[in-house]
Amino acid sequence: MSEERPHILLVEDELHLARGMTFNLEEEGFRVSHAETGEAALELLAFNRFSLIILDVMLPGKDGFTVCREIRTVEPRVPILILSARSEEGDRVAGLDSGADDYLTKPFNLSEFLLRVKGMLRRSSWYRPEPVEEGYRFGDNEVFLLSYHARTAQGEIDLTELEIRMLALFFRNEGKTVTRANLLETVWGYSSETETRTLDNFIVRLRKYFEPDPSHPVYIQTVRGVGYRFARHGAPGAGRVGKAG
Amino acid sequence: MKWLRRLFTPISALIGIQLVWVLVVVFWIYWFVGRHQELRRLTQQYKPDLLAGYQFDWLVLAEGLALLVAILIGVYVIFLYWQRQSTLNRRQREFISQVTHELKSPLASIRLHLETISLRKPSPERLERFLDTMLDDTSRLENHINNLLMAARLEHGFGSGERQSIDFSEFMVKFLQRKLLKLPEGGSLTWTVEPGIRVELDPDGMGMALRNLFENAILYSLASPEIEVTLRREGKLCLLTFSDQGRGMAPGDLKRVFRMFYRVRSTGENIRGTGLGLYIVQSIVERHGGRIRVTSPGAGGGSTFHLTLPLAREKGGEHV
Repeated sequence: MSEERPHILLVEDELHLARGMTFNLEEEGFRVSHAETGEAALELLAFNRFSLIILDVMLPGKDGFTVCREIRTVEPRVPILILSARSEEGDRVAGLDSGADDYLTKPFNLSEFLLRVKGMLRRSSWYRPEPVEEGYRFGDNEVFLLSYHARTAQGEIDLTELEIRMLALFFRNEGKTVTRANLLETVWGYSSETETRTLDNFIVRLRKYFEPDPSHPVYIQTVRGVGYRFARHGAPGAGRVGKAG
Repeated sequence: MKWLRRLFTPISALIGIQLVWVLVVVFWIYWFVGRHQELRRLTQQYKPDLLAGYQFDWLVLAEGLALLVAILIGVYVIFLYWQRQSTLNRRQREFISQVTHELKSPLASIRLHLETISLRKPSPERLERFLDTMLDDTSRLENHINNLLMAARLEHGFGSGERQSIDFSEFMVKFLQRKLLKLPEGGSLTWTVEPGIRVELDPDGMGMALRNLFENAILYSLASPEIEVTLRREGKLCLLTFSDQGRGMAPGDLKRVFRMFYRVRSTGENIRGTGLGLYIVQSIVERHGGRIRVTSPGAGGGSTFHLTLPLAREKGGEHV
């Protein structure tokens, strides 16, 4: 049974915080490995598979953003939650740009922290399409939901668990507006009251991948005050492509 | 376009602008002298009597050149001040970010433990551990706040409390014994203290200075800190050394480390701290009539802080 428990990697140099978080995560039934530095975390990643990584930004040695980018080169899918004492918008954007999926500022509320962890850990089998539907094409892009990667105008890219969740939701609701609350609930497992800048920053990241001009998006459109809509405007020949297998 | 942005640094802009306007002045002088010579030639040809007794006025040329040099120096001085100011602004921004982290981390730990107690209702043993952790975090917060307040007071010329003649040897040993308990796992703290050294000092201020020296040694240690402290008499002074086997520092950093907000750093590395600690240490030591300097064989070779403080005078005028 213990093998089935989600294994979380906690990268935090503040020992008091790390001990407190480990205790709470273990009480929730998770297995936790702790690393005090980014270098130690990368060593652990070489020999273990983790379901989630919780990463502090202000680490001794390499900072959390650098570590996050390095983790993404070896683990492109695993959800990463960044913890930081810095709450400026620029830091949040830098965190998501480095490949993280969510950003939580210290000091945080314990219940919210646990909610986010559980939300990020939820298995994503419910949204997985049939194998014949694996390739999803729009414009110059082709997204492979099962193998977590995409072909874009910039080349091949790996997608994270949460990016796949969001894209799958968009594809299922093609042409319809998906509300912010629905996105937050489905992708991160948040309640709709949670602050939502993470969502907007995440959308910016997806637009960088797929839009010909991210500042004038044609596929992932903003519906002001409501949410986002996935459309195929300006992309001739876009749509689902059948794929045998 | 990136290479163009990299090329356009403040120093390159300054040099470029100076070169342009100096060249313009040189061309103007060249043109002016050319016209002047032509005028002389014409005068010589048609009305030579006008040139009788004429001499080239070198003084005017020298004055013009002096003015030019003065303008160049003035611009350079303004540039230097601007650059110093912008460095200070950058350090202040970094400082705010560091302080935010240093204050929020213990606060986050206290909040996490309080919420854990409320949510989990832990056993009495665990509860006691949580309380110890929170007390430790509280004193960390207190130290950071005291450092901030002390730096502000020192900046305005205050900061030294009332001094009294105390047994500095005993004061040091007590301080080191307390710190031995807080040493990170695997670290070592050894000391050689000559007994009976008396110094007139403000115990709170000096305690804060020593605490900052100790924390500096821990922050800049490579792995487990190895700290060695000695205290001995040297004539009318006492000499306190604080050696660590940490990251050490380059020769250029040896004086700069005592500046406010200055932090020794290497590319791609993140070291905690606010850049206030050694500024506070130096200010407090100097307010006690002492001196501080640091020596290091270079990066990776550790560093040694040398503090000298005047010995207290006995009633008979003898130093003890």
